Parts: sequence; structure tokens; C-alpha cells
Amino acid sequence: MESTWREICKKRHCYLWIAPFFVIFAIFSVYPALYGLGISLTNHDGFGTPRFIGFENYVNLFSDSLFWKSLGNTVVLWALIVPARTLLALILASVLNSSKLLGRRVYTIVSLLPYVTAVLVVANVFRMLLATQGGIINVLLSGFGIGPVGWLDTTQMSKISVAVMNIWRMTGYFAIVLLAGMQKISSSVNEAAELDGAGPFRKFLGITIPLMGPEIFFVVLMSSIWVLQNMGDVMVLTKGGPINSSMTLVYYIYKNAFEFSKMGYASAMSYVLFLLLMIISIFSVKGQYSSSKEDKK
Amino acid sequence: MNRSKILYTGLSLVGLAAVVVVTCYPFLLMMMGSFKEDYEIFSMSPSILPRNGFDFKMYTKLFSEWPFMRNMFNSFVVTVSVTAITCFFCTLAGFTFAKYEFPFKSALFIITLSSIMIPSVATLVPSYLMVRGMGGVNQYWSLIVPGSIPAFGIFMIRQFAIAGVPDEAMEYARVEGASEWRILLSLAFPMLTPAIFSLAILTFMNTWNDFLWPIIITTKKEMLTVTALLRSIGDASLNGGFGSLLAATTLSTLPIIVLYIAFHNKLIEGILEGMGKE
Repeated sequence: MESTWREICKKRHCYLWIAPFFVIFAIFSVYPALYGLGISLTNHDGFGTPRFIGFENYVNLFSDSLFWKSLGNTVVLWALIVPARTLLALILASVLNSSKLLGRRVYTIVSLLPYVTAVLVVANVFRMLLATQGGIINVLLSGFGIGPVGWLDTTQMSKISVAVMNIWRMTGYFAIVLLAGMQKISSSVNEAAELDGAGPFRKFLGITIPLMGPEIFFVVLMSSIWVLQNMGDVMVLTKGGPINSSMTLVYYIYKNAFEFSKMGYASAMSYVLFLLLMIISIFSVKGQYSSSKEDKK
Repeated sequence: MNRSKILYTGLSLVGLAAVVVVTCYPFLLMMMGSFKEDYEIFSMSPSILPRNGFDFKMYTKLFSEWPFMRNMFNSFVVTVSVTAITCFFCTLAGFTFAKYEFPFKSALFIITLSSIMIPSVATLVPSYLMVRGMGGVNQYWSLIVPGSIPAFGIFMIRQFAIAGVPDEAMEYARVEGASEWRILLSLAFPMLTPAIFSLAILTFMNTWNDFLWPIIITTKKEMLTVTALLRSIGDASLNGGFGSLLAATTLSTLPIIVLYIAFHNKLIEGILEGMGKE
């Protein structure tokens, strides 16, 4: 006991150097997380004195049809985005990984361009591209005699538009992450397969995909967390509409807290989302910080 | 060359060409649109170049209707501050976790990593109420401090420092009589520069592009960051003036594009080490 104390005193600079992180973390993450639990048990409206109402907010969630609708929309968006985006990212990564590709650098830079651009920039530009009257997509479609499609103002298309924009934004990012994994697959495996007469498609299905298992798993988990937390796309592109057809869980929380002043109710919803995300996060952080750092044979 | 190889090469070239067009065309339309009137942007027979030449009317309109330059200035102040604070303190902590043994180190490191798992959306409402209670509405500090020193930055520096700062060099410096502070400032910081630089680029980009927290904690449009202002301009553009919205998106994204093209290698390194964020 005393020797531990002496050791701590001797190494006090270590504690001093890591302290700033812990101070910020305690004030702006740990405390709000606990404070949020408290607020979720009250009828806090952002101004007056909040009154303790027990689990009423949580109980009300079950009968709030818009909550269930937002949850449903979020799940649909997940299904529209994650599989397609992961597949596209895999294909893009393996093309970028071809040994004799000219201009690889240019393609890499271009692929990541949507990722480095702010969501709010992208969403405002997509409002223009997807406009029903005179948006470039509908102009192109009218050349084939189709349209005009109400991409942003019909309940059938709004989620698809959000998904398309998200895929446009994030595919390049995940391709770069997957590419880094692919480059760890040693070239001897590929050469051996070529000697056995395997073509590029066979190599993709027979070598790349199976050996990339952990990376793909990680990307799917990471994607899922981000899709569940996503808000920028919806906030500007469709504003959750029309008729709440693209309302997501996070945006519904935001609206409750900052537009309807239902802080208590929003906090309760945050906690439900929090639990959902925690379950996925535990898997993904484990994946990222242990298995994916190991090199491949 | 067998047939499947030719097919593969052909398909991948077509695919890459499609990626380039689909990615770049929206950016081109955005920039060109900032010189156009609404009827030209939403025309059924569009042309890429503005028909009336490069007229800066939309930019003038933007500057007269919004405190746009003030918002650009805010973004620079906030982004540079967050980047500086993050780089300095993440380096301190990352270097410590990489190179020192001290009691409770592994427990503290696990806490650091687990903080990545607390999603910021889940603490949005209580954070807002708390910072408002601290008098943080419309203040620079409330835009800067809460997002500083993320755990992924500590992890990034730590990964690099394990091999990047050799134990022998530190031992040698100690034998020469250097204090731990001396080692940190004259040995660790110079040797960690490549990793710090990656972290700086990534932090700059993330902070510049962030919008949710600035929208929530700022009520005066003079205090918004430029990215957050895009939401207000976007809402206003529903009543016409889409061209000046495109002028705003073009100007606000210009610093990021320039930075990205200049330092894309560093940014990609940063993404792969720290895994970035959406």
C-alpha cells in the first residue's frame, strides 16, 4: 500500500499529463450521462423547475407512435444503406488494390472527397440535385421518358433519397478502410491463386472476401453505429418529412428537446438509444482495438 | 490475358470513370450554381457554365444578408483552438500511456478507450442544459472546450509513440540528466511530429465540419460557425435565392478541399489510425 503510494508520487508527472483528458471527459461526458438519467425521470421543459415523474417518460415511449415510426425508419435506412454501401466499398477497394492501376492516387483522392465535405454542404447540394422540378436527376430521367420523381417530397422516395446520399457520402471512406486491410493480404497468396488459374473474379470471391472477414465485420458494426446516430443527412435533406416518412430516432430526439422543449422526454429516448448503441459499440471497439491490429499471414 | 481478366480490367476502368464522374459532378454543379439565378439552376435544359458569365451577384447577396465573414472567422477561431488543444493534450496523454509504467495505468487506459463508446448524441440534451447553466450560450469557449481531447487522438498518438520514440533515446536523455519534462518537450514532441500532424489535419476537418453542437449552443447567428450557418441559409433558401446558398456552401468548403488536396496522405493515415468519425 505504502509502496504503491510512493510509486504514484514518483510518477506524478504521468498523472499530470493524462489529467486534462480525464477532466474534460468527466465534465462533458460522464457527468452529462448521469445528469441525463436524472432529467429523463422528470418533466423538464428546458425552463421551469422540473418535477420528478418517475418512469413516466419511458412508459409514454411505448404508446408514442411517432417514436416507433422513427425507430422503424431508422431500421429501414440501416437496411437500405449498410449492405449496399459495404458491398460497393469492397468492390471499390479491390479495384483500387489492383497492382497495375494507373493514377491510383487520383482515384483515392476523389473517392474520399465526399467524406471530407461537411454533411450540411452535401445535403444542401443534394436538395438541388434531387429537386422534383429541374433537379439534374429528374432532368436526366426525363430523357428516358421517366418522371418527374418526387425524390424529396413523396413518402415513398424520401428514405431512398436519404440512403442514396449517405451511400454517396461514405462509400469512399469505407473503401479506404477496407483497402488498408486488403494490402495486408500478402501477395504470395494472390500469386499462388493465379498459378492455379484463378481469374480476378474468383480471387475476389475466394480470397479477398474470406480473408477480409474481420475488417468487413468491423465496417458493418461501425456503419451501424453511424447510421443509428445519423442526423445531418435528414436534418437538411428532408427535415424528416414528408409526413415523418424519413424521421429518424436521433432527429426525433433533437426535435423533442430543441423544438418541442420536452427535455425530459428527449432524455429518456436518448437513454434507449444509448443502450442500443452501447451493445453494438462493445463489439466494435473490441474488434477495432484488438483483432484488426493483428497482421495477416 | 484470358477473357475474365480483360473483362475485369474493362469493368474496373468503367467503374472508376463512373466513380470520378458521380463524385465530382455535384461539386462542379455546386460551384457553377453559385453564379446562377434560381431559374437557371432548376432549368429543364441545364447548361454547366452560367449563361450570363461569372457574375458574383449571389456572393454579394450572401454577404449582405448574412454575417458570413464573421461566421468564417468564428470557424477559424474555433477550429484552430480545438486543433491546438487536442494536439497538445492528446500527445501528452498518448505519450504517457505508450512510454511510462505507473500504478493503475491499465485501468485508466481502459477508461480512456471506453469513452469512445459514449455516443455524443446520447448526452446532447444534458450537455446542453449543463453548458447553458454555466453561461456557455453564444460563447467561444463552449464551442471549443467540450469537443477537445478526444480519446481516439490519444489512442492514435500512443500507437505511434510505442515504436516512434525509442526507449534507448529516453534512457540516454535521462543519463544525460534530462528531466521528464525536458524529454517530453525536446524528445517526444519532435519525434511524434508525423502523428501529431495527422491528428491535426483530422481534427481540423472534423471540427470545421461539425454542426450539431454549434446549432444547439448558439442562438445568435453572429456566433455560429460557418458550417452550422448553412442550415439557416438552407432554410431561408426555400423562399428563393438558392444561388447564394450554393455560394455559401462553396466558400465554406473551400478551406477543407484545399487542405485535403494538400495533405491527403496525412489525412488517410489519420483515418486509418484513429478511424475518424462521421
